[in-house]
Amino acid sequence: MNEERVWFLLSIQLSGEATPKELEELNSLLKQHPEWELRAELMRNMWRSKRPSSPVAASHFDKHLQRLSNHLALPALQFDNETTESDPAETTTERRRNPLRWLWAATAAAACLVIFLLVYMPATKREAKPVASNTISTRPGSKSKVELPDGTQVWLNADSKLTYGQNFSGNTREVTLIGEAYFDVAHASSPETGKRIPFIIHTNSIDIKVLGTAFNVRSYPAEKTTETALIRGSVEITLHNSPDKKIVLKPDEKLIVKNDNAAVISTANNDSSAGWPDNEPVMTLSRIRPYKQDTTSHFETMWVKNKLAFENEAFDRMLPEIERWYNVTIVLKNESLNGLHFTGVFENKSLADVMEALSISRGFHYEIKGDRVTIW
Amino acid sequence: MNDLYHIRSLQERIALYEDMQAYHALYDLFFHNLHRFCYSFVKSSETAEEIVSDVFIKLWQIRNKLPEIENLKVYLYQIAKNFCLNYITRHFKNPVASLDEMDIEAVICLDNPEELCISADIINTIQQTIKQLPPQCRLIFQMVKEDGMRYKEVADILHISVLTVRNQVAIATRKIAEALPASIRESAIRLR
Repeated sequence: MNEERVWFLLSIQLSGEATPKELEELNSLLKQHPEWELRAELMRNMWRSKRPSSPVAASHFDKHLQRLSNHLALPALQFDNETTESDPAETTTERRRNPLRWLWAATAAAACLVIFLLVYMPATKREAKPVASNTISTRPGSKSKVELPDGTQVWLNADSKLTYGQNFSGNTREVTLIGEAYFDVAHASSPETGKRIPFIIHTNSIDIKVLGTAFNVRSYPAEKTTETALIRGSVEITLHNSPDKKIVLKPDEKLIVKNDNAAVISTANNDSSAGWPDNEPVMTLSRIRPYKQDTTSHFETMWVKNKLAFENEAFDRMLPEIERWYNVTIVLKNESLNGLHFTGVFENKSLADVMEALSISRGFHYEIKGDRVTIW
Repeated sequence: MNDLYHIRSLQERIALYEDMQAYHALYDLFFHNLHRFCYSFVKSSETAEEIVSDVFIKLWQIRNKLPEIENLKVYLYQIAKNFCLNYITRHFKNPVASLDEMDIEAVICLDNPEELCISADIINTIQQTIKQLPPQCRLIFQMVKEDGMRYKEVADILHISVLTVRNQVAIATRKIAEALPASIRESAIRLR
């Protein structure tokens, strides 16, 4: 009976399922019966014998991808990270037309996403834990959609970064945005107080506090302004430079804040906000721009639907957007072109198509060489 | 434990971003173990590989729901087991009643006899002993020793109780131990 007990205890020890008390019992039993010691030792050695973990040959996964794509009734998938890098201008067209390409675009985007989902917190567990901050970022030429732990949907435009973490549990929801994102904020109430938990977005120049709503924020460091366009619900904006002043937006309103020295001088109702001459006020409240008669789509949020849209947009504001969209560098050799304004929507168009359309309508010259566009 | 977080983060990346690199990493992480597990049932390397592939096709199809899966390892093995049983039912025309009625081949690794300090002869004896274990016992032993699974995980995958897993591992250990030489002298004699 004793011997059977020893092998039982050994089996749970080797499986890593023994309690300290059981381990103690095993040790004392083996001390009393040295005649079992050798077998136990051999057993331990045998158990530890593991085939050295050889890397999985790439051919296995290739074969699997082939089967997966057959299964999805799509052309064969290629697993090649380099293709998306080599010629963004050309691959972008392909990518947009073909849903599979979109998947690869997502892959490329995902490949560069820096995700620190070190700690996954199920909604039910609320005890304090060390929370790492999570960063979701997109490169130029790619977009991404994410759902935050509270159910909030975020569409991240090209070359943007969203960080959350430290303050994204319990009674606060705070994120930091660099770049452009469209938020559809989920309602959340505190289980203790039943109060609504505000969702706060920090940008370079403003903080936006919301309860549950959909809106677009555009805050690229290289741009002169930060724009907040409210689609529905309501948001409260605080300017970093005048924290005591709060601006509440109503649906269809848009707030444009000048980035450096963002201080309130005046609130004007400008309908056209294109361009930003230096003598303009640092903050402008205007209407969002509906696309045609359609009240559900606006120029501010067209990018979410993968449409590159401009409405009476100044050239110098448009070019960075095209650069981000197609991941190219644009060199403008003729400064006088900066005064041009454009209106138009591009859907599933290649960089060449877009440049061709623009150049025809305004009569400028351009040349695309790899990821470099020269305009004169 | 790190592994757990690693798997968790791969799960999230696949679900949120359709991240193909994460998908590839997950495939590589589980390929050998799932392949061995499937091989135990179907006893053909090619078929086992196809079933592993089917498991990952399934995983891709349900990628949106991945964050809800608490233990992905258990989940993958469960799908693999079901696919294997489907395959056997389809190809051998006799539905599988219970694991113990199946012919399961355990793949237990006993490489590097020098390192083990056991002679090839004894290794042979161990292999024979394992072969004589009941099929379910063999499979459980394989999952615990080779895949490093917790009893609870094995129990969840095979739909048996943790107690059964514990008993079966104990039986396997005892049978193997009894086949081992009891003393150096005996071991030396056997070596000769």
